[in-house]
Formats: sequence, structure tokens, C-alpha cells
Amino acid sequence: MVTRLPRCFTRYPAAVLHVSSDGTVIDSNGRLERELNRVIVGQPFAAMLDPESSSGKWNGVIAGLGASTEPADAVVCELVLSTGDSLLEPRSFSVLWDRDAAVAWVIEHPLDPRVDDVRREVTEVNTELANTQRDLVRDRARLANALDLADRLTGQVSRQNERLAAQNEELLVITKELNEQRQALERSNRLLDEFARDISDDLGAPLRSVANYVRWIEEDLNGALTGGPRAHLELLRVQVERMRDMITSRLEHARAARTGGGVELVDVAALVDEVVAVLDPPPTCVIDVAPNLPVFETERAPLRQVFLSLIGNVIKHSARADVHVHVGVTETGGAYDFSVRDTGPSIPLRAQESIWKLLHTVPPADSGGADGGDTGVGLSLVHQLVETQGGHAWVESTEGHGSAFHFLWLK
Amino acid sequence: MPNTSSLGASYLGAIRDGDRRRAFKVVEDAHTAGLDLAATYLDLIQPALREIGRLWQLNLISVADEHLATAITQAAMARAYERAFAWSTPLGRSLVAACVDVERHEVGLRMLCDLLDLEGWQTTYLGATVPVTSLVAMVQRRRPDAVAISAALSPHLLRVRAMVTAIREAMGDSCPLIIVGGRPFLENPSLATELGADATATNAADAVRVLGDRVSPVR
Repeated sequence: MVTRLPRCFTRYPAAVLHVSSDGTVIDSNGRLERELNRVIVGQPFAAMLDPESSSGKWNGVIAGLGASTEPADAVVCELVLSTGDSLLEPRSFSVLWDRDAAVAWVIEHPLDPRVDDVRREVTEVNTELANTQRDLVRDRARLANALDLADRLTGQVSRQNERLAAQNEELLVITKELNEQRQALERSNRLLDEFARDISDDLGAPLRSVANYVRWIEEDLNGALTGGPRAHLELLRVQVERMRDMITSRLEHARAARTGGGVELVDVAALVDEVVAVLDPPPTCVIDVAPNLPVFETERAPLRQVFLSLIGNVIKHSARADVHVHVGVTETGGAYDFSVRDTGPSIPLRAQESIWKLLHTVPPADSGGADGGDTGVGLSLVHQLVETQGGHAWVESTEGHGSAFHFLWLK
Repeated sequence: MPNTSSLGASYLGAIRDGDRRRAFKVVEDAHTAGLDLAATYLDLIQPALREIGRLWQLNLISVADEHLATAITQAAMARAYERAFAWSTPLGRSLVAACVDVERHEVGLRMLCDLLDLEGWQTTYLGATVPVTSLVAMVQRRRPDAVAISAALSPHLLRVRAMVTAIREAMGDSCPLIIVGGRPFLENPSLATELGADATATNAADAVRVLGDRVSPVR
């Protein structure tokens, strides 16, 4: 039995062995010795294999030697070789034997070394794919969450829009009602104006007649009237004049409350100067104006009327010709606290609230109860105008120290 | 309850025949039947792969057949993972996973990463045959809470020891928790501490539990 491998197998690009029927390596072409760095001839081939995965498989192949009835048989067997401290990649061997099965040829299938490179590449790509898929799935979940959130937000916005639309509808209805009410109010005001004008005309005509009769009586008597009757006739004339003033003032009062002007830039110091010029106080009356009166945007006409009424009120009710009037201001947040302070008669504490009422006149605390002959409209008008602008008016007065009229005017 | 043994047999038949569409269908059926990802991996796929390994040892299938079965399984896992994934707020825990530098059996490690991902972990899966220097560099860069090392064959255990030692030397006091897994540790769990690791587990789901217990979600 020839057991030596022909020399030509040394050039074969993989391992070629002769193995006996008990699995011992009889001869080798030298490839495995170089790869495993050990002697293999005379050793069991199983000693070069990974016991876990390949020894059993090899033993099964050896046990099958000679069992075939074919003249020559072959088994292809994949085995993992062990270097002692590591395992090599599995490789394929063809095991061939003759019928007598005394010797088996174990021939490794040659592998192109590039296959290992390809396998390594495939492993890396596979890992990369797994990580990429993981990232993609996570990103997709994030996107789905974001879309879900966007859907919910869109739903909320949609519901808000529906609510706003409903509120808008309500506002439109309210605005329409307000417009109708405003138009009704304008009609009512027009009627009131006409009524007031009619009243003024109706009452004015007989008053003018009374005044004329008084004047004619004085002319007819041509100085014959003296003493008490003359004084009574004079009182009658004064009262008629007062009543005409009251009617005119009341008419102005009613109009002032309804007449709104546009907002404009107002120089308050110039406005006060203009008011003082209109009032034309006596030369002995001193009116000084604080240097810090503001220039700001507001309705000019009502502010002018307030200063006109307050300063006019002070001049009219002062018991002394040398009354000293001071117009000042203090800034308080969103409003100006304007004041008109005088050295004239004080206002009794009990009357400091009632003076703002229409047609109310107050004898000064230090006048002994004499009526100043006022119409009682001025301060009421101040109160009404200031309140209409969102402000507030009040008076501070101490007996013997004059009075200070204040009003808050929104900026 | 889904019949996992029947599904498992169908799955094994599909991957043994190299029929990827049939294998995907089985995994889809399992999902439809209510099998969660862990059960799909551990009760359906893992036993089928073990059987494929056994068939190779019996010389009934070739390495090519085994590779094809593994490739189909990886694709099937990708599909199952995609179906199972539901966004959860990340818990702030991270893991780097690698097979030792001579280890090609990576499916178990990938199962672990997929299941941890579902728990909100941030995983970096390095796959099979990762050189020691590459793993150490990745751990230094990512500074994960845990490192998972897989070795399926006993001759590879020395490489596990080399990897564990290299990570500990590189990271010093800030070394992450090191968990090791693979068949040798299943047969002898004490190997983990002998090789310098902190923990081991019997399978991917058990590893998720162990890591959840050992790594605090608040860093």
C-alpha cells in the first residue's frame, strides 16, 4: 500500500493529507504544518480540530470509512481548525477513500483569499445597516411623535379659531346693538337739545318781558321810587338776570356733557393763559401758573372748560379783590393731578361733597351765609367732564386757608 | 397565547430552506398573534439558530447554508424590531456592544441591543469581530454606562479577558459596567468574574433586566 503522497501535491494551494482508518495523519503536503505551526504527521487529525464544533463531525466521517459499497466514495466535510488559543474560519474538506478503506485522502477545497475580505466587508456593512436601521426607526418615531403633536396643536388652534369665530359673532351682534343704542342716544340727544333750546326760548321770552317791565317801571317812575320799593325792584332785576344765566348755563352744561372733541396735542400752560385772558380777572387778583404744566395729547375742549369753570369759580367767589390763585400739577402714574388753589374763602367740610351737585351753591364758611349769586352749574360741569374722561375731582379746604380744587386727568 | 413551538418550527424550516419571504411571514404572524419582541427573539429565532448550528455539526448543512440562515434572520429581526419599536423617552443610559475580535456569532448581541433600545437605552452596536483597540477607542469616546461583550465559543474566552483588561486600563475609575455573554457563560456563569467582568446573563432579556438593575437611569 502506497502511503506517500505524490510530490506534485506540495504545489496544491491547500492542505492534502493521507489519513489512516483510525484518523491518524499518515502524510501531509506540508500546508497544515505551516498554518498550525505544529507537527501533524503521526497525530490524530481530530487533535487539530475545534472539539466543540468539529471533532464529533470528523469522528463520524472516520467511522463511515469502508461502509460504502461504492468503488470510491467521498464526503464533503466542513471543519474548524484550532491553533490552540484561537479558532480558524471553517473550511471544507473532501474525504475520499477506496473500498478497502485503509487510507483516506483528505483534500482541502482551496479558497480565494479575497473571500475572507468579502466576508469581513459584509460583516461590517451588516453592522452598519443594523445601526442605521436603529437610527432610522428612532428618527421615524420622533417624527411620528412630532407629527402627532402638530396634529394635536392644529386641533387646538382649530378649536380656538372656532371659539374666536363664535366670540367674533357675539361681538358683531353686540357692536350692532351698541350702534343701534348710539343712534337712539343721538336721536334722544338731538331731541333733548331741541327741548332745552325750546325751554330756553320759552322761558327766555317771558323773562325778557319781565326785565323790560322792570326797566319801564323804573323809567315811568323817573326817580320817584325810593327806599324799600326801589330796593325790591333792584332785587327783582338781579334775580331775573340770574335766572337767565341759570337757563343759559344749564343749556351749556347739557351740551358740554355730550360734545366730544378730537384728541390733539395740548399745551396746558398756554391753555390756562387763554382761560385767564377770557376771564379777565381784576388787576388785584394774582394768578400764577406752575412752570411744569405738561404738553400732552388729550381732548382740548373739556379740559379748557374745566379750567375755565374752576378758575372762574375762584375769581367769582373770592371775597377779596387781591385773591391769589395758583394753578399746579403733579404726575401720578397714568394721570395728571391738576390743582387750582386760592387764598379766598374756605368751603365748609359738610359742603365739600355737595358742591359738585348741579344747581348747588354754597355760602362761604366765612361769609356769614350770604349767597354769592352763582348759577350752581360750574362745579357740577367740572365734575361731569372729569368723570367722563375717566378722572376724579375733589376739593381740599381748611377754614381761613382757602381751597384747593383737584382733578385727575388721564394721560 | 401564540403557539411558539409551531411558529418556531415554521421559522426553522424557512431559514433552513433559505426562504426569506417565508421567514418574514412567520415573524409577522408571530407579531400579529401578539408575541412581543423578546419572545420572538428568544422563543422563536434563537432556538431555530441553535438548531441550524447543530445541523452544521452533523454535517447536514454547509457553512453557506448557515450564513444564509443568519442573514435571513438578521433581516427578519430588523423587520420585527421596526414593528415593535415605540418611542419612549430616553432614560439617559447608554451601552456599547461588541463581539470579541475573533467572534462571528453576533445575533445574540444584536438581540440585546434591540431589546435595550425598546427600553429607552441608547445603544451602539459594533457587531462581530471587533478589534480590542477599536472597542477601547469607542468606549473612550462615547463613555457609555455599560459595555456588553459577546463570545460564543470557549476558545474565544481569552480574548474576552483581553478586552475587559484593556477597557479597565483605559477607563480607570470611570470604567463602565462590563457585562459578558455567550454560550460558555451560560454553562459556567462564574467565568464572568474570573475574566474580570462585572456581570453576565442567561439571554438577551435577562441581560436587559440585569443592566436595568445595575445601571441607574439618573446619571
